[in-house]
Amino acid sequence: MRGRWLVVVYVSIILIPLVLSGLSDRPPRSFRDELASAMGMTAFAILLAEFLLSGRFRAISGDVGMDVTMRFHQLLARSALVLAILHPFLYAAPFGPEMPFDTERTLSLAQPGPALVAGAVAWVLLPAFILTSIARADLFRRYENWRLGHGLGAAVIAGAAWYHVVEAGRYASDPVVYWVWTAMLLVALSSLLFVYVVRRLFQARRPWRVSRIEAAAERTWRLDLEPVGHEGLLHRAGEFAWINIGHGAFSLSENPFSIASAPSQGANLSFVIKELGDFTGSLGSIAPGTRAYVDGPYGHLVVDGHDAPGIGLIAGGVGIAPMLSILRELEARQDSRPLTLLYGNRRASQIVAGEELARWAQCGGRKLVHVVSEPEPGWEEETGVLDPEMIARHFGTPEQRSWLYVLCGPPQMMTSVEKALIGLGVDPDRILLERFTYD
Amino acid sequence: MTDLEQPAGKDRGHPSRNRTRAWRLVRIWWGLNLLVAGALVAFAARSFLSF
Repeated sequence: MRGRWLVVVYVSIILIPLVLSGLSDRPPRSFRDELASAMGMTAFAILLAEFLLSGRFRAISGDVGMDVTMRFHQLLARSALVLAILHPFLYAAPFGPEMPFDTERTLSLAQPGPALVAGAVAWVLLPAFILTSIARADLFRRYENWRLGHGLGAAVIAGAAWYHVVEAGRYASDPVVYWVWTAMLLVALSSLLFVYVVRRLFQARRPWRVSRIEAAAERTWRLDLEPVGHEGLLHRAGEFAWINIGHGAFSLSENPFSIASAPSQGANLSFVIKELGDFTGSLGSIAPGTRAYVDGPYGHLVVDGHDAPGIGLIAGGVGIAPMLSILRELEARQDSRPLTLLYGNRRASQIVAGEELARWAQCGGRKLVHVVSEPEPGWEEETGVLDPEMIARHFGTPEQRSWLYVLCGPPQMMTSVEKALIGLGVDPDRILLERFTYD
Repeated sequence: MTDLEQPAGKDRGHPSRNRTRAWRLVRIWWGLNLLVAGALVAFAARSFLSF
């Protein structure tokens, strides 16, 4: 429901300049000229709104999920690109010098030189910017480098486009329209300033320290952080945080990890991290006591607020991390609802917190199912992958259709399990999942 | 990781496919695109439409 309101607010924001321009008393021009102007204005409005869809604002991504926010960011960038590319080609009126008798600028596209250059700069940079973002995994070895360029590039394009719109745009000569554009630009740039400066200043005053680092399973680590001089992070079970270890508070070297500890377990945060990239591959070399910074919490794999008669947790590999947090929190609250955890790994040696899970499953109403795709001799539990047949075997009863499901694992696994659950009759709104890859 | 994934295309045509979160997102995006297109045309044609 909140997601629908966010869409309404979003549409209102991107159409405000167009509506105000339409309400101004300028005499209309030809259909093509007006359509070209409208495309340029809407492309710019979408571009400015993109700053708020960075996934770093909990008011926006808290309920719908960071992955949904990021995917919208990517999809809407494509919409803005199409509008921006077409914008200069649709004009029917000729380019030419400003004519003193044409005060309403209906006869020619009088473009002051710098404004035309600014528009051309934004027009050339925008496609390059979006295409390099789409291909970032191939073009940038380090995510941090792309991220820095993305923030700076977006600010340059927005600044150039603003100058073009207010100097060359016919409707921005209306003071209300001018100030709306300027306010939107300032909000967009302020969002960058907030994420990269203000919030970092806040984090610098709330440092953390690595209190424990140890192997949790094959190529998987347990990392604990303790707050230094503050009360810690207020979070809910199932959420994640961006953590920066061993770098300054303003460093862009940070990675998102699910919090595996429960809020009721105290101020320390525990993470379960698998060796997958350059940072995670170096976890073993981190010494206890290393300074860290935490940005969060984020995410919406939160069972709080969902009234369901039972809960199904389906984890693949390191996707167990948020499940551990949820299990631990529900246990601390003595939640008596039936709960099934389906936990898939390639090998039994990759199982995290196996003993704790076995103890947890001994209580009534709880069911733990380990699934291993490459079983060792003597393995007695499920063998295979988390496919629709497996899902139907463990979540196929009529009562389980009204359960709440939490999914975390490799993207293809989540897609497959989500489809399987929907196929069993589960309401899609009762399936919580969050991706850490958005393409 | 790949051992947990399904073979590509195995779910193609699955009736539950168009109710997944990803598909709902794409549908909302297309809805937004249509809405914006309508607003653009209405803006450009407002003199003919007399508003």
